[in-house]
Amino acid sequence: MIVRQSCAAEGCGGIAVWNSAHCAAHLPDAAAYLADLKARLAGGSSFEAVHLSGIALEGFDLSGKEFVCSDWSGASLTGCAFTGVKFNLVFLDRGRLARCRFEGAKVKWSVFAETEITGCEFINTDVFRCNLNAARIANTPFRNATLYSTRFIGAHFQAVEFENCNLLRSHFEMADLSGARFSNSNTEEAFFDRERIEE
Amino acid sequence: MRFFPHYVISGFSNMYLLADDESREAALIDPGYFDGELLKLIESHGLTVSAVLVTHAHESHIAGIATLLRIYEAKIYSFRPKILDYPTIPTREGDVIRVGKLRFDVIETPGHSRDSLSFRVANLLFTGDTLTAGLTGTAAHDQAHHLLLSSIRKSILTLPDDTIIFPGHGPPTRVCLERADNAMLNELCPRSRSSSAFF
Repeated sequence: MIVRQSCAAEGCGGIAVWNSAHCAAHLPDAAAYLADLKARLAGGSSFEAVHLSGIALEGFDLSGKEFVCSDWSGASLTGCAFTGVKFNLVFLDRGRLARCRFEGAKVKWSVFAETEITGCEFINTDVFRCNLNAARIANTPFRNATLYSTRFIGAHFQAVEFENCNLLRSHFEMADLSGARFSNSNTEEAFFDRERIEE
Repeated sequence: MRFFPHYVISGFSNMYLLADDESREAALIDPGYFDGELLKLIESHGLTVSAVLVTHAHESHIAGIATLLRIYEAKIYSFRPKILDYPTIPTREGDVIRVGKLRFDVIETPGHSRDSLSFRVANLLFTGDTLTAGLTGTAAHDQAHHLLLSSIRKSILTLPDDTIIFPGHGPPTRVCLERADNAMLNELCPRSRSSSAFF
């Protein structure tokens, strides 16, 4: 389960990252850690309790991997490939996702709240029962995506298109939708603020 | 500890299975339905359900109890003395429920209903309909709404930031995220602010 170790650095309340006694900020050799991490992730297909809070990954290809019960809170992922990835109970809240591809990914019971998502792609992606509340999402298409029971409450959208998406039981209350566009998506089955419904 | 969230499509609600690794004893929180899929989940992990924890006695959280009790000899823990005519172990603030080596602390959180309880195990909190990601539960009238907000502020928002909340509906969240982003916790936010009165 989501059992995590505290960082070994004195007085640090951070969470130790996977296979280390230290949090991301106190890694003795961050470059060596990242190289080792890349090799470990490349060598497996299914991972549980891979905690990467606060870590910065760039250019990792995690396509086809499965991650369960993992805390990536505050992580910054840039240019990573998540094609066909499976996330179950992955916590990537208060983080940053830039130019990451989630084509064909299956993401469920996961949290991306308050995360900044820029230039990513969610194409043919299942995002089931996920929390993207207060996320700031820009230049990111959701195309042929299932967003069943996923929440975007209080989220901010800029140049975000929902095209041919299943929005059944998804929530958009209190979101800034001025930069969102919905096409061929079942908005009538999603929850919006009353003002929008009455438009 | 093993942990499995399970979605109940009939009531759009969540139930949660938690098990002690050693004894294989399991607790089921809010069995809103009991189907073959859930039975397979329990049995395939060699678990025995010995406790049912009820956050509140609304149908979408208890409707599976009758079927469950035909299969497992489980004790029911609830604020109420009876659930669906089955006797319970009446449960109050400060009580501790032990399932194998798992320890559940009981927190009374009235407001959505008079019998609302939350259960805390390690850094996980099960809130039923009291608090969900970005929303609060519904309340029958203004006084109940104030009681609900008071319960959340006093008993949930005071928990450590990284406490993970698993609600009765919708995706998981964290205490720090709700404290920062849940606009419905603002007294100025009217009860009718959200269109999503579905639980």
